Amino acid sequence: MTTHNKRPFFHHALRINKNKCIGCTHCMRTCPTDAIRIRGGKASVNPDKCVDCGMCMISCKHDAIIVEQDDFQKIFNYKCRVALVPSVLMGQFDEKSGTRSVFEGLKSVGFTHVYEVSRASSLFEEAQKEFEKRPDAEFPLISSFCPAVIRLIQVRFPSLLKHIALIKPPLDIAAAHCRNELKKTGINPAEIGIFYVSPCAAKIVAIKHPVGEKKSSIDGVINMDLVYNKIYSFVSNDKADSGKLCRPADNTHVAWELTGGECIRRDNHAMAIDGIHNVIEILDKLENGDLDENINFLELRACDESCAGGILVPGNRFLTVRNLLQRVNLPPCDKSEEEKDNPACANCSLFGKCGNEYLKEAFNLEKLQPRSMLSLDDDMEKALEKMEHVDTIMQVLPNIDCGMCGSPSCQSLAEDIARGIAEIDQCVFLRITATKDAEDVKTLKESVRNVWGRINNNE
Amino acid sequence: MKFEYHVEGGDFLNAGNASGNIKKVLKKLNVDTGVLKRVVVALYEAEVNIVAHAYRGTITADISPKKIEIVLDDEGPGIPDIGLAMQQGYSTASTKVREMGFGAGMGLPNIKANVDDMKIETEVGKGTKLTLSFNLG
Repeated sequence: MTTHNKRPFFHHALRINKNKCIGCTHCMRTCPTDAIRIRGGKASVNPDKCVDCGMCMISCKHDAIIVEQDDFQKIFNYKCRVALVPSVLMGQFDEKSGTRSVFEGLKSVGFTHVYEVSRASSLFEEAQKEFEKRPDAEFPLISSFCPAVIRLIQVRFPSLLKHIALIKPPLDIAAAHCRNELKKTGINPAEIGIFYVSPCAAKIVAIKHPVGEKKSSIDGVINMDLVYNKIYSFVSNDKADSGKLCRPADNTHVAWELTGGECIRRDNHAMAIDGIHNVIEILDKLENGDLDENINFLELRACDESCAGGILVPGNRFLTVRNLLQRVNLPPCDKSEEEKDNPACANCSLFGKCGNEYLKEAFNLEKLQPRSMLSLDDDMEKALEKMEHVDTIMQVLPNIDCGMCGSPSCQSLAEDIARGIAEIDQCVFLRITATKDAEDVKTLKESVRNVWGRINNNE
Repeated sequence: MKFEYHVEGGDFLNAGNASGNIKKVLKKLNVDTGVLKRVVVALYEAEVNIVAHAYRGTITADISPKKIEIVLDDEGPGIPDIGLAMQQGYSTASTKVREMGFGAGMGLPNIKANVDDMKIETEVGKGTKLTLSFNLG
């Protein structure tokens, strides 16, 4: 544990509600970074290992995992209240409810301006293309789009950090761009509050505690499920003519948050992967030097169906994809420039090219630091001793990964024991097979109580 | 600490298992990421060499805080001309092997470029023993 104390503390948006958690092990088993243990009958998360992917929240059957967010009233601290929205928010509504209705709905609950993040996608792509020319660019380039993937690489694949294109994610670029535009219209910068409507926990953390940049240009985060509830009745009852679904100027950018959204705009040497366990499989192959060397770009998204499958996205992910693709296939926007300037218009043309020096400078991320949590000890000599210890323990453990000890697998328990944070008598299987007399039964019960907080449901 | 893996000639399905496993071990031992990458690249190439050219082989990794030494000992055809085999692009791989995406003639040169020391002992008709060393700290 001493090695943990020296490291910086990592903040997270996911929290365990101890009142609801019953220690059922579902989250522990699905966690891709082995960050969860059951202690005292409740799930407990190792903050150093957690990457905020949200897999635990999806697997939780007891609503025991919650996502932090800003108080919605915080938007009223600002005179100019900007909602920065991902396209998947529009994908929550079918063709009967249009883009403009969603924008108007957001205004009806208090926002003064609405921007779609995907409008910054061309700026992001341009910055990425610039990055590819840098001598230190390592191929295949990994997109910095998904913050959970960046954190996953920091924790599990530190040797691949050099592959990440050091470009701020589109939502940061979008925020910087619209803040700049609003300033140009004469609004006092201190009065501008930009709020991101987040589809996932990872993006919340990326804003609250960014990696590779000192401070995010976003002032607050509102969870998409909350926004959906607030605007639902407005959007579904909006009968105005303006309520039609409309297509943005460059339609492929709408699909940008979906799987393949970045690849579709590149050549066939790009590859798109979604789902964090699939991403791990590919990163493992890349790290092994076993990935086709013609692949020059990896679009990696932690959620199944990318942002459409974000844990805060209220609708079904497949229907969200369908709704968004319908928008892509609409005929081009036929509004005149004057009409587009009308505040009622969703205003979905792309942001201009990044000739703007301010923006260009704002694009780059700092070098990403490893957060490797796989090692048994920082000191290799001690790590080797611990590994031999692990091997010895593994010879007696049953290898059935039942989870009763409070660790996700026998291997994890063995490593926890070697690290000094678990005891071998936590293995219920071993205890049962070894238990003969009454004294043993008593200590077995104590051991089970330490992990599970109880022996049966009557306690 | 020693680790041993068996490799079967022609088993492309499992080519890379040994290097993948050793990678996991090195991560747990907090080995520098630069060294880790070199070990994995060199070992993967050498492991594929056994699968593509030899009948069977054993990979033994000996890891200490100062040094990683990996011995790849195979029963196979051996290398008739090491000088040629060390040239980039030279390959004796069969068409079948090449069709599978291996055998481009980059193996030994690529291994050499990634190790701190490499030793080849080979006997035509018997097999090849490749010793790869990486210095730590």
